[in-house]
Amino acid sequence: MGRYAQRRAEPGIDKEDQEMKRSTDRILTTHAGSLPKPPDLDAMLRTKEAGQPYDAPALQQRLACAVAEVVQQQAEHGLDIISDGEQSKTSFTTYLSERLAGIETRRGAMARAVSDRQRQDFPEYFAAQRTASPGVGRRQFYCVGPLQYIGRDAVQTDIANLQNAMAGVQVEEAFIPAVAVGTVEHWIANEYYPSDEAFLFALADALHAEYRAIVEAGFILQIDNPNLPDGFGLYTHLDVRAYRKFQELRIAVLNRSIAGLPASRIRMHVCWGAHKGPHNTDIPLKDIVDLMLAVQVEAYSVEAANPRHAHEWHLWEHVKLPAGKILIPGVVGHDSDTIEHPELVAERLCNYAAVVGRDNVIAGTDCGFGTSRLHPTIAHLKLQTLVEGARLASQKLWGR
Amino acid sequence: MQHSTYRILTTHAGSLARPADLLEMVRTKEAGQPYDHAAFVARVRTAVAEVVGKQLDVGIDVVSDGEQGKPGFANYVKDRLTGLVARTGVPPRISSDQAEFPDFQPPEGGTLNTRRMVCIGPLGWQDRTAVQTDIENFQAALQAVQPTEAFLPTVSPGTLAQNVLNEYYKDEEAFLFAVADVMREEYHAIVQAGFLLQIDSPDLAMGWHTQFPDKTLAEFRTIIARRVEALNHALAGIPPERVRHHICWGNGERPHHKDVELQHIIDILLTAQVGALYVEGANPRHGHEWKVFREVQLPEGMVVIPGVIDTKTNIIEHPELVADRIMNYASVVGRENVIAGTDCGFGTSADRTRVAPSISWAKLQALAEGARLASARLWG
Repeated sequence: MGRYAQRRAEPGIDKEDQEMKRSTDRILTTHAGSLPKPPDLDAMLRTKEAGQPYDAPALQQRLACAVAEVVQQQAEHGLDIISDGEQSKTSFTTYLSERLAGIETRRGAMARAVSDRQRQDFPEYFAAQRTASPGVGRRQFYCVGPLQYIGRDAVQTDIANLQNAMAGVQVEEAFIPAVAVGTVEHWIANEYYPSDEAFLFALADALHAEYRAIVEAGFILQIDNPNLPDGFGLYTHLDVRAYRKFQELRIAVLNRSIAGLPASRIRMHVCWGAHKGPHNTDIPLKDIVDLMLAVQVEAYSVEAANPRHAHEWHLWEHVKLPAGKILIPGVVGHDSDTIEHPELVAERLCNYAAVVGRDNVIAGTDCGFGTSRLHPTIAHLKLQTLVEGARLASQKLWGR
Repeated sequence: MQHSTYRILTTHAGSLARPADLLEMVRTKEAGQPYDHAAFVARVRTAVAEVVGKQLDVGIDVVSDGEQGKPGFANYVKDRLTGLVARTGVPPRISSDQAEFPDFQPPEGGTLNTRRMVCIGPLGWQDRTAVQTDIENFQAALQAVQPTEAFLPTVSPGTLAQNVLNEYYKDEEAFLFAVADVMREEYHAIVQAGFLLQIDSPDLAMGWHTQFPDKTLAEFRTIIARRVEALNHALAGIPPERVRHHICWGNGERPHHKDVELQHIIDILLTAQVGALYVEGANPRHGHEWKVFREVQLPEGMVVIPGVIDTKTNIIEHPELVADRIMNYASVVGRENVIAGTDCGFGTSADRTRVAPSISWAKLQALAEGARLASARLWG
């Protein structure tokens, strides 16, 4: 894999004084990025996405205001490592379609979903859940020319909105999520490059510009790579062995996309798809953990609260988390509208602390609460229970 | 009652998904429309046989009739008792966990349970044959198979006091004990038939956030202590080891953040004259409460049946997680005193199929597989 990671450290990024915050004297808290949007903002974004006329200055104004509100909310909840809530994006992944040149949009629905492997087992359940798959709406995307990043203004707007929103709030740190190459591959079909590999590397280079802008602005970059686990649900023709081989290239490409950026400023989120289905065919973490750890980032955010994956903390009894790395297990989830009891959150955090060390654990969420089907109030109550559970765990772990 | 003497036994909370054609008959019957009574009776009998076979197929040890013939776990009594009517238009109660966000609609589905039972006259039996039919259907289904044990669920006096609007008896106390006096016949009939009796008492936990959101904890404790006394009154003469007592916080996927804590009611629950205490233990609001049993001295011989499968969501528990949960309970009450169950039923109301039927069976398979994994760890 090393042969791909050739980009050198870039000017403008000072590694020395920008260490990622760790749980040194208590368990820090964070989440997976997206948070509920105000309905009026959501409506404006969807109008824009649909190509209908919209009031651009009004949207910009509402967006800045929404980011300020969501940052304020996170600070009030007591969250330590916060985000812009992805307020500017209708989807954590297809937002990129507006930031790339070389792709074409055509009408029609996506033919595949990350729940496809389970669909084979429970067809009547999925038939009743017409919207169960986190699809991308009635659009299809094709790569028809050289890929180029054209999102500099958009990402700078995200950065400026978050910087402005941070003034006056007390938090430890802030991150901005950006999508990973392999996840983009889920919804852009290549019709231009001669091979998947050529397409993926071109995509990696385009995405690098976005990643770099976020790191240079002083924020933690969160690479959203659900593809590593949930691609197994999508590429149903692959068995575990073939799937691992398939992912090896995607991981190499991902490393290429972040090469030159300090690992200490990057975390990666992986999950099995934010839908409330059976998840019985999810690939076990044990089958991909080495691939996950091969990504050159400081922290790994992994779904761990829901009942298909809540036992996987045991994996770390046998797998060593490399020195200096951080694990961000999801300790509250989107799989249920039931709000986790803080004592259960604390129990989960103590389990992780026991196997990887308390300093190496940050409390997170299974997935973004903006992309899943949680009622906004429930999403915020879950963030409160996360903070309360981390407080209880810190008392137990640090004895005060 | 069988204990988990050499491996962890498995069970569930009673109700299971009805076949689609039977569900359609139940809907027609409940809507008061003309239906073919003989066909309904015959279909219930075959459905019970099918559901018993399926339970054994997926590895359930202590099986039920799946409540196949009942429209719901509690409201079935309206067809059996005098003095009750089902009334439409009674405004539903707003639970305290929903009060903060009136725009939240719990995705519970189903319409069979929307009518409120109202008591308008003296309670008594108008149809003593119904429970005998339940018993005979179950006995017939069990002729061909030999599960470890079999139970029939029935509703507690307290839950009827919660669900039924009393317009006849002078106060709640008189009503509660009138219910106890009448329901005891059903309890005795089930025990005499040789089945384990399961008493469903969701009111003892869910009552706080649904029926009594304005009461203090102390006031709620007083209310449920009295309800347990009424239950004990109805159970008089029945050996406790033939009775399991199911408690839950309401089988809906909803916030549940106002649920009363098990630690605050466990002492009262333990005053019930029963052989098994059956509580939710899987869903994320109550997944930590196995620790409550560290502090509790269980009566000699009492079994704890924790829910280790969530009946409110469609995500299928990993068997390793099921095993972890069982291990937690075994570590605090002893392996022989744990039977692995589900949080609640998969057909609490006949048409409330929030968990797709095929997924509910996959969940029961995960339960049995998790119990096997835990047994291997616990017995080596």
